[in-house]
Amino acid sequence: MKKLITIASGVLLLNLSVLAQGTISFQNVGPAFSAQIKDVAGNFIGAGAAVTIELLAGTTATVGAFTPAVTTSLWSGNGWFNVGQSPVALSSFAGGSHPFFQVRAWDNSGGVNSYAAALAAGKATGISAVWQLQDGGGLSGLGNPSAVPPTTAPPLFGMTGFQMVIPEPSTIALGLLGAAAFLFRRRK
Amino acid sequence: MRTKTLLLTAVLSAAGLASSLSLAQGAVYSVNAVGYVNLPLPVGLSLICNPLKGSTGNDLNTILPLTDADVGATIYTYNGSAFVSTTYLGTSIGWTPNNSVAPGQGMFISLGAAKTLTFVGEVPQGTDSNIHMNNGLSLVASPVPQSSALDTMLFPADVGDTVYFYRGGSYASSTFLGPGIGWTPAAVPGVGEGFWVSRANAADWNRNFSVNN
Repeated sequence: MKKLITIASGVLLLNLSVLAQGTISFQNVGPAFSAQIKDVAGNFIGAGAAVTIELLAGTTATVGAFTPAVTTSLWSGNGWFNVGQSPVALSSFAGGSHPFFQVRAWDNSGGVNSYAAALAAGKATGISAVWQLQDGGGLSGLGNPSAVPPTTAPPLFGMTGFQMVIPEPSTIALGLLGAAAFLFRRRK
Repeated sequence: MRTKTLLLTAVLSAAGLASSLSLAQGAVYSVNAVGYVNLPLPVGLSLICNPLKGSTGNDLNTILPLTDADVGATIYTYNGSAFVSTTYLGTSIGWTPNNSVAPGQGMFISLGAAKTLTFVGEVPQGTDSNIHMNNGLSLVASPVPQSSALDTMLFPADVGDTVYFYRGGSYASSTFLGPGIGWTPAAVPGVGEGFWVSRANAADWNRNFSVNN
């Protein structure tokens, strides 16, 4: 009996993981939608800028990073990123669902490869408000590549633009403190 | 999806014939360009269109007669809010229901085996080569059997409008970023290829195509 339950649970989990494969176009421009990002000087980030953007998500407004991280450093000009790239499959979110999202950006010059590292290094960073994916351009919820026919992945409808800033020294200190606390907890 | 060059040749020949006749006799001739398009498709889903105007209409039994080996082939069109499906039930019954798919309208087709579809008909011209697109999502195609960048085919777009091609089992998108940047990446539908367009505003795609020009 136990064996049967274990097998059934395994099959259920497998089915859930197959179902939960919603897709998003990880870009900040779409029909009647533009959430451009500005650099520290207040200009829209230009093509080829050394800035990385990371997507955070959650089923509630408490969002977290993906593992591996969903990032892009492709800029088309006018503060638009990752335009026309392949949709990203979000393994924990079903097609048609409306997750909560947040994006954060950092100056990646010098090989800085995370938001925390950028904060610690005093690099320019920026972070959006958390938002829930909205419908737009005739698209409702995440794309569903498993549907027949498959539905298309929406851009980040609902996102609002923001400006990157150089963190204040106190923010850097807080960031370093957070990083230290994190490392300390891991050691424990 | 590959187009037989015969179609283009027919179009160009017709155009050439028309202009030479016009020069010789001082008269204007209307030339209908008739041809065919072959679409080699893989097993499974493809996003295609009817690239030519059927001689007796654009219902599926006219434009896409299949064989008994293709029973179960299914076509999905999009009515603006949901898919509408029709299934091929063999030569004695045909497509059920026998829906129409005009040039300029995209459709998914699901095949049980790889197959080359052949469309026969006229190249749409004049108002036949114009289509209306609603705001929101539409499943469309070039109303003229041409493969060219959307910019050069007079496709109307606002910043942010996005097209989606279904190629190799997944979507590839392109977004219009304004006249300075254009479509990113370049958006070039193939002959016989359908695509989604997600638009902020309704618009007419007016080609007013003529084989004489």
